[in-house]
Amino acid sequence: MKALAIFLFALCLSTGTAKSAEIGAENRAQYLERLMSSIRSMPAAEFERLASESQSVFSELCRSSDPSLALSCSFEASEKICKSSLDNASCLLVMDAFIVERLNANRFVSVRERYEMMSRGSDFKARMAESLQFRYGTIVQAFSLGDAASCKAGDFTCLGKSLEKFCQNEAKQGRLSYQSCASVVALYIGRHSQGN
Amino acid sequence: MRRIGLKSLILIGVLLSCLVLAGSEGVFDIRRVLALQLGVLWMIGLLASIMGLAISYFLRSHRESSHHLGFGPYDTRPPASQLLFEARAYALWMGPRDETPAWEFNRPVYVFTISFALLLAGFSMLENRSLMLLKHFHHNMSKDYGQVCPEEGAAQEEAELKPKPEKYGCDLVKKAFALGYTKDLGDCADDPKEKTDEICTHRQWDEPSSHYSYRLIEKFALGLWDSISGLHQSLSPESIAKSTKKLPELSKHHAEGFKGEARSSIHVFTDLREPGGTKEQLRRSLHPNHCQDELRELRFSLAEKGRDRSSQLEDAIAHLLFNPAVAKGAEYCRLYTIHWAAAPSTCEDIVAFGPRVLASLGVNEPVTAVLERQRLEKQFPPPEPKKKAADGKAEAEEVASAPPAPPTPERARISFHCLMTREITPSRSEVKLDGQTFAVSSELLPSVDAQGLMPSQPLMAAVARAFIPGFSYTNLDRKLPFTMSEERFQTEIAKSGDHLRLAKFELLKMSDILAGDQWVASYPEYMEVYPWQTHLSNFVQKFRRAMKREDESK
Repeated sequence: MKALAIFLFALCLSTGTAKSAEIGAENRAQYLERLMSSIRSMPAAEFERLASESQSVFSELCRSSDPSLALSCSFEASEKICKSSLDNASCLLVMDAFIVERLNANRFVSVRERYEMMSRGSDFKARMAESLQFRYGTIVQAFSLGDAASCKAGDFTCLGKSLEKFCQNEAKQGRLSYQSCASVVALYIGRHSQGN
Repeated sequence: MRRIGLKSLILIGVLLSCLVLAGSEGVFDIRRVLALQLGVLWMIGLLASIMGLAISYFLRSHRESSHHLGFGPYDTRPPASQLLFEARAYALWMGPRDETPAWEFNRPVYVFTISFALLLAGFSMLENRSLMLLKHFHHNMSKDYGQVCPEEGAAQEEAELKPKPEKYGCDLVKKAFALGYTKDLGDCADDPKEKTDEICTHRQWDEPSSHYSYRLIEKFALGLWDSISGLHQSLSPESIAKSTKKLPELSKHHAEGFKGEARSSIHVFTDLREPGGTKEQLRRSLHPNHCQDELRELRFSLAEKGRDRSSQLEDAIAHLLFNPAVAKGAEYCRLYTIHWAAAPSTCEDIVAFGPRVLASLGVNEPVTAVLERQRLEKQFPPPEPKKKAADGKAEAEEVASAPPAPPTPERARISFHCLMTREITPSRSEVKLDGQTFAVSSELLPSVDAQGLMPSQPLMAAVARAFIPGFSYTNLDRKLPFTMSEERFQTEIAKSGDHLRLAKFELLKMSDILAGDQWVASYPEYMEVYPWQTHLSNFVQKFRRAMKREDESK
C-alpha cells in the first residue's frame, strides 16, 4: 500500500513536471511569436531609433563592469525609451531582443578579431556589424534548414515554435545561450523574411 | 580424343591473363586509351608488333609443339604420356609429339594473338609518364647520386687558401710553449686526425660510373659476407637460447602495444542500478565503444534527466571526466568502468581483502592486464633517442623529427572509487597490489529532493571528491566575480512585468548553481533555459586542473 502511494506520488510529480515544462515551452514560443511579429510590423524609422537607443544604453547610460547592474539599468532604460513609443508592448519586445543581442555581441567575435578590426582603421563599427551579420546569418541558416523549413515566412506561430525548439537545442549543446540564440534569429527573421 | 599443342595452350593462358590484367586496370574504358598521348600509343603499338614477331620467331611458331595436352577415352592415351586426371573411362594427359597431330594456332593467328596480348599488357602498364621516363633514361642512369672525392691537388689548394681557424685562447699557450714555460700544448696541439691522409672512398672525380658501381657492389657483397659469418657464429645453440629467452615476453609486449591495451584501469562502483531498460543494457554490453557514442550525444541538462538517478550520476561523471567540449584535459572514457548495483561495502572489502575480492567484483582481469603491461614496459623500455647521429645528416634529421617516447610511469594508473547512496562514510584508503599501492575512495551521493532528483551541486561535488579528495568549488571559484541573491533576482525579474523576458534570462549567468546558488532550482521556468555550459565548464576546468596536479604529484 505504501509502495503504491509512493508510486502514485512519483507519477503525479513526473506528470506535473512534464506538463509545466510543456507550458513553459509554449509560453516562450508565444513570446517569440509576438517578438517576431512586432519586429515585422514596426516602422523602419522606429526600429532604427530603438537600435541606436539600445546601442547607447550599453555604451553610455548603463555601462558597468557588473553585468547584473548593467542589466538592471537596461530594464529601467527600456521602460523610459518605450514610454514615448506609440505601441509600448511592441517597443518593449523589440528592446528586449536588442538588449540581449548587444549584451552578447562580443561573444560572437573573439578578442583577437576585435583587436585586428580596431588596429586596421577607424571603421570599427562597420567592420564589427559586418562580422556579426555574417555570424548571425550562419545561425539563421541553420535554423531555416531545420524544423522551420516547413514554416511559411509570415507564419510567426510556426516560426515561434520552431525557434523555441531550435534555441533549446543550441543551449543544450552548449553553443549559444537560449536568449542569445532567440534574439539573434528573431531580429534577423523579423526584419528580413518576406512573403507569406 | 582432343589434343592441343603446348605452345598454343600457353598462348591461350597468356592471352587470358592479359585480358584479366587489362580488365582490372580499366583498359577497356575507352577514356583511358584516349587520354594517352599519341607518342605513347605509337610506342605501345610498335613494341607489341616487334615483340610479337620476335616471340613468334623464337618460339618457332611454324612448327608443332614438342608436347601436347590430350583429353579423351582412357584407351586412346599414348603410352609415353603422363596421366594428369582420370574420371570413369576418360583421361587427361600430357604427352610428347607423335604421329597424331595436335591442334595448333596457325602462324598468322599466333603472331596476332601474341601481339594482341602484348598490346593489352602495354596498355595496362604504360602511361604518359612512361614515355617521359624513357626519354630521360640515360640521364637518370648517369645521374650522380653520391659524394665525389675532390680532384687531386684541389684539396690541398683549398686547404692552403682557407687557413684553419685558430682555437680560441691558444695564442697564449703556444707562446708559452715556444718560450719553454710549458712542455705540453694540451688541447691546443694540432689534431693528429687531421694530419693523417685519409683515403677518400667516395666516387673519384674521374671514375667511370661502371667502376664505381662495381666498387659499391663489392662493398655490399663483402659486408654481406661479414654479416653472414657473424650470423654463423651467433647461431650456436647457446647463443640462440640466450638471445631468445625473453622472446615470448617481448612478443607479448609488442602485441600489447599494437592492440592498444590500456595502461589505466579505473573502476567506479555505485549501488544504483544501470540506467536504461534491458534493450539499452544489452546494446551497451554488445557495443564495447558505446561510451564514445554516448559522449557525442551528451547535453548540458544535469537536472533534467527525470527521476533516473543513475543517468544523473552517469551525466555528472561524463561531464567531469570525459566531455571534451567543456574543458581541456578530457580523459578517455574506455579506461573507466562503472560497476552498477554494487554492494555498499565494496570499497571497504577491497581495502580489507585486497586482490582476493577483485575477482568476485569482475575487475581482476583488467587490473592484472594493466600491471602486466607496466611490468613489460619497465622490462623493455623504449630506446633512448640518440643525442648525435653516428653518420649522415638524414639520420640526425630522423632522430630530431621522431616524437619522444612516453616515459614509463613509476606506478600503474589503477584506482577504485565508490559512489554510494547509503550505508557508507566518505573515506580514502589504499590497497596493495603487486607491490604498489592504489587509491580506494568512498563518497556518499546526495539524497533526492522533493522532485526525486539529486541536486546538481552536491552531486557534482560528491563525484569530484571521489576522484580528488577534499575538492571544493566555492563562491570564489565562480566564473563571474559577481553574485546575485535570490531577493535581488526576484526584484529584477519583477521589473517591467511580463516584458523583457529574454533579457531576464541573462541574469542566470550570474547565478551559479554549482557554486551554491541552489535557489535557482526553485524557478522551473528559468531552469528550463539555465546556461549550464557557462557554469559547468568552470567547475570542470577547476576539477581537471586539480586532477592533473594530483596525477603529477604521484
